[in-house]
Amino acid sequence: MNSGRGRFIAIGLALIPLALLWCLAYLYDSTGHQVWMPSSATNPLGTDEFGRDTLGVLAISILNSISISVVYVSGALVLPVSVAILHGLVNSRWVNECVVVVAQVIDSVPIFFWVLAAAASVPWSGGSIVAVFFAIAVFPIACLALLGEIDRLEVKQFVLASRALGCTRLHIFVRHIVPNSLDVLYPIGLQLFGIAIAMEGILGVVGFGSRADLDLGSFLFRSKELIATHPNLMIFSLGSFFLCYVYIIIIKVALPKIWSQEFEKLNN
Amino acid sequence: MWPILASLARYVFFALLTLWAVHAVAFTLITLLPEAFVVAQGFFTLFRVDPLLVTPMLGADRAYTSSLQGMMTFEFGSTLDGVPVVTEIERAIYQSAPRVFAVVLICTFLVIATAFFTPAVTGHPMIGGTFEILVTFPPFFWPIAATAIANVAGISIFLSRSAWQVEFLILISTLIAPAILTCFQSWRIMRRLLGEPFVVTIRAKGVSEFRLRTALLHHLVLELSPAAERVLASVITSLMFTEVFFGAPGFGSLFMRSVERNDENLLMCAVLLIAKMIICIRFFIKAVLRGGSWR
Repeated sequence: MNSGRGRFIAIGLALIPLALLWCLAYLYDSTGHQVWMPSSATNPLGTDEFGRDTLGVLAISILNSISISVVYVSGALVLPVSVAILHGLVNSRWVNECVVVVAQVIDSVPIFFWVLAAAASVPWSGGSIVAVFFAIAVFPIACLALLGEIDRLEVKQFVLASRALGCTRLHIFVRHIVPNSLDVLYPIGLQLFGIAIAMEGILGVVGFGSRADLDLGSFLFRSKELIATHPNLMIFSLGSFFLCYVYIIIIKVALPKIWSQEFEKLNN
Repeated sequence: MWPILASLARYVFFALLTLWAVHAVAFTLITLLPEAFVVAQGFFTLFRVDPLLVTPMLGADRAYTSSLQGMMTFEFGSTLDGVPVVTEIERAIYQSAPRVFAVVLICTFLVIATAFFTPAVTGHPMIGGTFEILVTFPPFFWPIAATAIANVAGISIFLSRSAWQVEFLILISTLIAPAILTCFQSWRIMRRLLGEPFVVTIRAKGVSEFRLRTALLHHLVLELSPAAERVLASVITSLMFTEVFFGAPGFGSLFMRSVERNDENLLMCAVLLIAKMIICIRFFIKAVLRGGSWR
């Protein structure tokens, strides 16, 4: 398999499930249905209490939750990446010490407790305070991993050789540290993505947001309320979360292997 | 003697510093932030209106110093229902403690089992990847899945549930997340230990597998000890959902109630109690088990 084809397959495998969901969401027709219709050819999973096609609602909810999670994770990675850049450029001990102390403080309370306390304390802020506290709560996970990777690379032979040849710290950082430490961002990002999806569900379980919202949290909230009369909604909801996590597992473990076919070919 | 006392004093100092910082963040979040827009209004009108009129709006009665004092003396006032927060918390801990102990006991047993049954051969990378993702699986997933399985198995917990059935389901669904975490960590450490040169040497000398694994258990416990706080966090987080989902009273239900009703005193007390527990465990591990540096 050549490198171009490997990358094409990797990107394709990552995008196909999203494209399928988008197609389902595109076909979603919210009008002209009766409430609680059983499954049929036009509505494979039946309809919900608002008369909406459940499959379409699920597809849109998953896409919305994935989009929100991507925004949360992107925002959450800004601070750790900035601290890692500072650490890489300055390489001062106090940056590492400060991060360790901050991580000790944040880690003293579990992530979801911080986020729920934030959502409960400032309900009028919408999702912004949740995003801020999500970023604060996951800061230790992301920052310590990035700093650890930079520290690991700092003592590698190619970095030591560059330093011995008289390269500046900025040059070494840009040419050697950054390209090699980018590999660790991928698993960290996916781990944070998993936490963000879980957070969506948790906020839904507690009941933040509106019943009519189209995201996995609101779907879970509705299915929890209706579990005694319509348990199939809960099965669909759990199935959606399960599929999201299976998707994360696949793109975390399998895709890098398909992507890196070119490196194995070079080694051979 | 003096170096030990000095390091202990350092641990205590850092533990207190961490607790103070957690209190500061929690106080800012729970007590100050809701008044943020009031503060903004206050500043807006500060130069036109008598500042004394703005002061009551800023919640001066909930001063930082009194909150800090409350943390030290464990006096957090009353809940929205008028019940003392400490009484509520004590009752909740009394109800949740057996569940936490049972989960910790089973996790300990699983660590020992992992130490003795981890294969020395290399496994497929998907196993590690799956474990890693399962650790971050949403905590509410397991009680709901347990309910679904129980319903399939014929235990109709929504119609005629008995106390033992509910307790069993709570235990199982609380156990899954910490069990996955401890098993994954133990499995990873044991896999690494089994490949170490000293283990290969011991095995080459003809020592039995049982004695080798027993000796490695010591290494495993020492390396696993930093994960204890994560396991406790995982147990508490799981309890937050399992107790609510199965309608059982306890610490998790109390926290969720405080979140839903925005009961500031109760929320503050619950957050600080969790922080105290985790900091105590961290202090115990650093000071007693590891005896190493602060980091």
